[in-house]
Amino acid sequence: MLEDKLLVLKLKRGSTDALRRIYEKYKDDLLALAISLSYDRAIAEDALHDVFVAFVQYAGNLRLRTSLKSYLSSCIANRVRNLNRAKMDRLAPLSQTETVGADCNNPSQQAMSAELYERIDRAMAELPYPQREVLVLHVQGGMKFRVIAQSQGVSINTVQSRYRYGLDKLRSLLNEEAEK
Amino acid sequence: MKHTENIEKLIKLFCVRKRSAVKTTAELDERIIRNTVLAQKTTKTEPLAAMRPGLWRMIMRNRMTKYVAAAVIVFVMIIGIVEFGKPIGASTAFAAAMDNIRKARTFSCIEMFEVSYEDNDKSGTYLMEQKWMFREPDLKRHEKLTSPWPQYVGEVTICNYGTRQELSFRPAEKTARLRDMVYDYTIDRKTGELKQTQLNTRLRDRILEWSAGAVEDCGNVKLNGQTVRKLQSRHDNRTTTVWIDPQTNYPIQVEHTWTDESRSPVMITAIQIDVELNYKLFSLEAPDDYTLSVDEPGWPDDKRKLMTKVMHLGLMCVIYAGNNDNRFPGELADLVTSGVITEEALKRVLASPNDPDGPPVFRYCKPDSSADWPTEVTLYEIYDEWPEDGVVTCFMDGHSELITDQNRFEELIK
Repeated sequence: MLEDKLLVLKLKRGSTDALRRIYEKYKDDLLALAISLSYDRAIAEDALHDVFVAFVQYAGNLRLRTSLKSYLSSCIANRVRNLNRAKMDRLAPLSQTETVGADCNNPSQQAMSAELYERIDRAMAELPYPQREVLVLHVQGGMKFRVIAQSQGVSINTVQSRYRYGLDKLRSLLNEEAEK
Repeated sequence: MKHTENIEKLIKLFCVRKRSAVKTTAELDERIIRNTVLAQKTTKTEPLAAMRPGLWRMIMRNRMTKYVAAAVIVFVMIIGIVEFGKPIGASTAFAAAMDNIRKARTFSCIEMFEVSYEDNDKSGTYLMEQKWMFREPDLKRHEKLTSPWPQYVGEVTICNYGTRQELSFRPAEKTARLRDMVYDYTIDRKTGELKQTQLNTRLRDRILEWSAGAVEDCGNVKLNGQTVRKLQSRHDNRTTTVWIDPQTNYPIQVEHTWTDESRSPVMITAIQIDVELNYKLFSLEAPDDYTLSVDEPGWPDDKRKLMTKVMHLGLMCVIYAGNNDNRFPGELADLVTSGVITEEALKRVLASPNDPDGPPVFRYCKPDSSADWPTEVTLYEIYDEWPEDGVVTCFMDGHSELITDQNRFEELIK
């Protein structure tokens, strides 16, 4: 957190090293977030690109009210929402979405079978976008409901409801699949 | 198989797996870096400024902080220090009056500015209000008038540098804590000498400097029903407005605003200079109905001295890095060649507290600028055999720890 504050301070003063450091630090998390939101790698990459270019342009006026990561995650969510709006119904077939290779060696990854992973992935893709956005930002992006609410301009109750409905919907989708 | 249970856990696992599988490509990295650097170059930025000694407070707080908010608060104060530290052109006559005030023995004011805060369950911004009082040569009182956390509202801290004791009490909890300040040390920046902390009158001195520099007369205005004289000065990106009591010529309120509107204004109000402050305000006796606890000194005195020294060195390294695009010095002598510290001062800080002219007692390891600042070791106490009470260690972000677990220490310096 403190390091981020120092980096932002340096960025405001034109440090290219600070910019590179921030990019290196958060690029993978943000790209993964964008992919989870958009289900389209091309849109996700565009979002990451646009967010960083805009971040640099407005860095001079930047006033962080949350962590840098939360701030960038909110920017990604907003950008993906706009790009998705521009390319309505452009959800890629599931076969083209980002999937996990078979060579995962992280124990937490091994704890989930490829089959289960795919089922959850399909269920996530079926969620209404506002619910998926809240789920992804909270669970994957680690953002607090309050911060999500601020970034989306809605009340915290709305965000919590979307999260709850999202989980319920996922639960029912997974159960339906299991019963087939 | 049903997933009616632990769906949240399942989704978390799914997200962890998904996140770890995604990586940017080299082409994407190159495109984004190229375009962002280009955008950066075409965007007006502030000139790179050296980090100022005010970072000390930030580093100090960071070591002890349990709440990220504390670091943010200190950060805001540093911005003020960095900006305010520059000399302001002075009106000679007014400066002379201010010089007289400098001899004042008492001072009090309320300082206000907006800060952001965040901890595990809440975050946002709030107007921080704090009251400062001191009575020279050795009494200080600080009152926290606002806080996002109810237990801290109204917290009072009283320091007596003569008896070297500190009392703090929280009205919200009816608790009080007495602490011995015998082991509170600081380093003289010019000489590198280790000495005990003493009353700091910097806030008053700065107010006087700002007041002396405000020479644009805006005429008489009303402030809280009183007719006062309003003066202003503009300097770089800051405007300082000073309200002066025409009877005494003392400043009673100072405000700083910035051309960058996203930066919070700083207001210092209810300024009282050389007004009688009752000794009771600085009493080290806890209020009657409060539960008093006494803090034990904890670490041995020699370790506290070493910690003060190593944190000073850590701070110098951070300042160096601030001037050199995050690159830390190759060796400590680079601090001297870059003008961050004098050779004499460095030698003295590196030496044992018991042998100021002796050999260095700390070893420096140059960290990589991309390392994790709070966990990367930069300096540690040299030892032959593992000391029973641990080794003083300083990290890249300038905080310091007394590490008693040898395995952990060895892991850290690998």
